[in-house]
Amino acid sequence: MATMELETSRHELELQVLKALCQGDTALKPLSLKIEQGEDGLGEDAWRITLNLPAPSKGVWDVAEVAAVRRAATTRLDELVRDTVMDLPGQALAVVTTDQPGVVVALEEQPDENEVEGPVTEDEGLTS
Amino acid sequence: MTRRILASGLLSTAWRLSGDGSGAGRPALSDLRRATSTAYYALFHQIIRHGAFDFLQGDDEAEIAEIARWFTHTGVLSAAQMVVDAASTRRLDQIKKEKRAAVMALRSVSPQQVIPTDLLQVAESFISLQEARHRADYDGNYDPVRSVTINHVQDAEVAVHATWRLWRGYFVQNQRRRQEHEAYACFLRLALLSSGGPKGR
Repeated sequence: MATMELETSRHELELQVLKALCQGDTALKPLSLKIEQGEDGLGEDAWRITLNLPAPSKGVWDVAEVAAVRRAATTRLDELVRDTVMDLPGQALAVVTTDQPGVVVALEEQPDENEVEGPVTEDEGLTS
Repeated sequence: MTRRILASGLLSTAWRLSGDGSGAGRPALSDLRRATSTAYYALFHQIIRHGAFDFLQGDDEAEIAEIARWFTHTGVLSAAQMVVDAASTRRLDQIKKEKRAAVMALRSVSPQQVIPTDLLQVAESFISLQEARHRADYDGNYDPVRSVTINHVQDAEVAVHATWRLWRGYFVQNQRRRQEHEAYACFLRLALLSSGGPKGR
């Protein structure tokens, strides 16, 4: 039951942060966002916000605009959770991505022919 | 001879690997991973170099390199988090007890208790880039979108330039710039303290 309540609250948080960003004064408006609980770099429980942005017009976003929307997201989340049971001890972090068509995605890499994957048995070992 | 590790050189490498301006071709995933990682290291090395200068003003590269090695990644991260806390609207009693003195120190540099924009930029970028670098170096779920990688490199470049402005504030006859430098120096000292202080290799 407690888990379900937390899930509901987390979903509610996502809606409220997204609404704030869409109505706020940042130039970039996320299309959607996801809030997950994880750990910050010091190992403390912390919120992580993934902002799904529109595809950048010339292959890159404006760096100041990205910084602004990331800051707005963490600030709004901090305001919402402050002094509630959802206030986590670690530092909230916002990251950006995009799932929009047209963006350049890295090639899937193939292993070298001698790059043995998985467990190596004696017969399969690179002995030659 | 001890050779300097320069942020500008690392940024050039990160730009090259990110494939910025290389047209419509698809980049190699390894290049994007190394671009993100190198962008983070550009900012990390610039911060610890300034931290070494702040601790011992001199021009002996071997000594600077030795002191720079006292800084740890988690130490700088911890200090960066203190800057973000100091810049937030949280009252002191809403900040973790062990961070309060540091937050007070950072806020008290300016009479208006305002954290310089450049310092906040450095702190936010460091936190974000360290997480991105961790994913780039270790995580199978590294985001393979070139725009995201380029944003990492841009972010590092903007933050490195901000450290340069903050450092130069020491040398100018402008009260606001001097205060901004003092806030940066406070961050560097917190980073060294959080790293555990002097240590041998």
